[in-house]
Amino acid sequence: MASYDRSELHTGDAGYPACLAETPRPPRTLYVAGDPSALRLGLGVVGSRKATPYGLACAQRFAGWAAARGVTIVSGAAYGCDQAAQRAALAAGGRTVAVLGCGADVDYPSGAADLLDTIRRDDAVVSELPWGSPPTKWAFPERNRIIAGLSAALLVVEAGLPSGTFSTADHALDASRDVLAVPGSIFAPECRGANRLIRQGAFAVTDVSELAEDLRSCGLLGALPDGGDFEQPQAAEESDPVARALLADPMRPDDLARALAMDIIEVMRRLARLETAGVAHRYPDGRYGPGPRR
Amino acid sequence: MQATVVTATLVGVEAVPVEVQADVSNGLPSFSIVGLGDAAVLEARERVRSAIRASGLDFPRGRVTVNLAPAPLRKRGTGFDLPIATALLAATRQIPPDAIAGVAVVGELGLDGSVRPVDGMLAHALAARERGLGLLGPAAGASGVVGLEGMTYRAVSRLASLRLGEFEAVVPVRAPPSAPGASDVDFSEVAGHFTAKRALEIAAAGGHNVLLIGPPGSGKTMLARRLGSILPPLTEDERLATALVHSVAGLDPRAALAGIRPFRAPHHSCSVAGLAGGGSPPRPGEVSLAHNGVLFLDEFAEFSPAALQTLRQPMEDGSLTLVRAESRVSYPARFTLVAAMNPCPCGFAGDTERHCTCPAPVIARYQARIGGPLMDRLDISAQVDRVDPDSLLDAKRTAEGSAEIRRRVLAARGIAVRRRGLPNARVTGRALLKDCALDDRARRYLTDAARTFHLSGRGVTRLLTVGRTIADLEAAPVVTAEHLAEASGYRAWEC
Repeated sequence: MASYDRSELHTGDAGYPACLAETPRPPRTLYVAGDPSALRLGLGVVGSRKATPYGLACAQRFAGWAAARGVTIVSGAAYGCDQAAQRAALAAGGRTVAVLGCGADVDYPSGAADLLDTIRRDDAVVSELPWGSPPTKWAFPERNRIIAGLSAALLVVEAGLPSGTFSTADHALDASRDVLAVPGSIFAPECRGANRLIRQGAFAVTDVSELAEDLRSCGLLGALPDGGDFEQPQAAEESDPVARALLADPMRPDDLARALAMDIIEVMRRLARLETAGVAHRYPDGRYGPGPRR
Repeated sequence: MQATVVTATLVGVEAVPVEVQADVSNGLPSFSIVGLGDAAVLEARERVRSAIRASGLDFPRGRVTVNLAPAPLRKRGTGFDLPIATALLAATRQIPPDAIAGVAVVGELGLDGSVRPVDGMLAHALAARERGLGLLGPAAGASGVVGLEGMTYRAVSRLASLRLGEFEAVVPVRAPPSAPGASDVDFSEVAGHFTAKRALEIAAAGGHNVLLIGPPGSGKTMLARRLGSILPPLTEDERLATALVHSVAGLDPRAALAGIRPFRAPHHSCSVAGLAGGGSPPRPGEVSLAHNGVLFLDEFAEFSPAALQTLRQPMEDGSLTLVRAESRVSYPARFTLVAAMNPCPCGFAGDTERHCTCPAPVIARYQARIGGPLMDRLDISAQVDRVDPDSLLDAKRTAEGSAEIRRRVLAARGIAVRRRGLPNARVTGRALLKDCALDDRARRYLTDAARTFHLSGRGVTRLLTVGRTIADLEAAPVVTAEHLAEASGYRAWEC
């Protein structure tokens, strides 16, 4: 168990984050485990708990890129996208703040204990609930309000329907912050929420140059010195019909075989090839689709 | 006046010889049985007395003692009725001595003198044949026994027939040895499910254990039930071994003797003893009844963890040893495991239409219930999805029948057996690597795959063994990168 500082910030205190004070309902007291100076305006990155490799890849890519350029990543340490974003921020040597729906000293979710320990040591884990409070169902929508308040812009990387990320997005709009969303396949249920946010007016983010533009417009990022910082690790143009089909829309081998009128054996073999090449990934539900390049 | 009759008692699937020694002497009338019989053996006194009288014979007056030798061996069951009665009749010279010369005797008696079958007739017959004896037993329930080569079977349906030395002919009821898996279901009825069908074909050809994962109603059970229709028939040795277990458990051994592989599907509420065997007297469990066949465990994750873990020993050794305070019994249990489970407690994780209500950690916990060591023994994992109505109608015309698939399975199994005398699933280690004869490209693929999929040593072995079977299905002498690539699509589920 790593040791860390504990502090309590009240509205009106000098150290109380200004960005949070200007929101409609700032928390009266902030319990901070770690370094209170880490609490400054950053980029909120949220998404599904049951994320697909696609969502995880987006979270890693965008959070890692922004964190490497000095933007603090704010998230909720939940399973899936939240953790992926925060781990990517740490891996990029950046800063990240976790906002919890329980006491800031409580390891919840338990699978994130190591992540939370690291954040408490280097940055800050924060909550509006007193030390030691257990997680409760109602605390999480409220916690989303703080994530939104600490974010100059909120990036939704993957969300289905219904989704808790909508509450975070609503809070962000209430606090007049920008909402960004990563679009996904219109056929994938995991992407419906993010696509709907875009329909409702969120900015679509499809690559880091677009993210950079949005971060600049909300003041998180200055002008980029080189301007050519947007190397695209995207796959070279895929000629394999199997690869093209599943990069467009995650599918099961059976559906691929039917859609492409190919033999199942041939489909299985090509899928495995694409997997080892890092182009395709098997999702936890048996579909194959895009994901992080290995 | 003394007489001795040979019989046997069941220990595991074996009939251990027992001598029934009867002594009739002068004294106060009494009838005692000594030699460590269980309650059923002691009750034989009442059945034997009544049956002898009802058959128009005389129950000896005086002091009657029956000893079951060897005395320290525990004797169980009702099969001692007929041997005891026979020994008493022989001791009192009521039946001709040649009626029981050169035979072992087994059978239960009714009070009216009828002779009834007991469990394990086949085991008794084999034990008798091994000692160069014939078998004297009930006419009913003996049909599985009389087809045995070099076996003389004397059938009686009533105790009275013994006096006259009249034996009934029993017609061997034994299906022709080459009868294909007489199954009333067929793969031609299954639309879609290409991946799962291919996985089962590979499993049948190599004897691999399979895990089918899919939402409720997607067709896991339907697919598993059809596995029997593509399995190769039992070999001559396997027939006898499987029939023996069935006979001992009181099931009809004829299907096994006809070469049909058993298909056992215990419910998930099955107890440890029900699955592994046990009880007093010990009886074979479902794993043993599935010997040389298929053990289908539907709702795999709903079985009690204790029951699931008992599968590990038989899956490794092909037999299961029950160790109890007073006995140690081994039952054969070499089966192909077909396990089916939902991806999560609600069943709809990953379903494109229904919403899964389970939180992520609950799904992980559910899938972890199976446990690593057991999961490691499942060579093939396949996803079973609900087939959409379009493809149901679409595929009706083209679905391949079991006969066609079975032809490929038989050919592949033939290749494997010619190579090692074993199905591929049982070849491991150095022998497996040698059999695969990987070229450079395949080796490269294997290292790539091991890195990409984070495969353990056992994971690599699974890839090789499944790859070997896929190559056999194409009659390919070496396992290529293509074969391994397909095999990696059936690797275990990671959540």
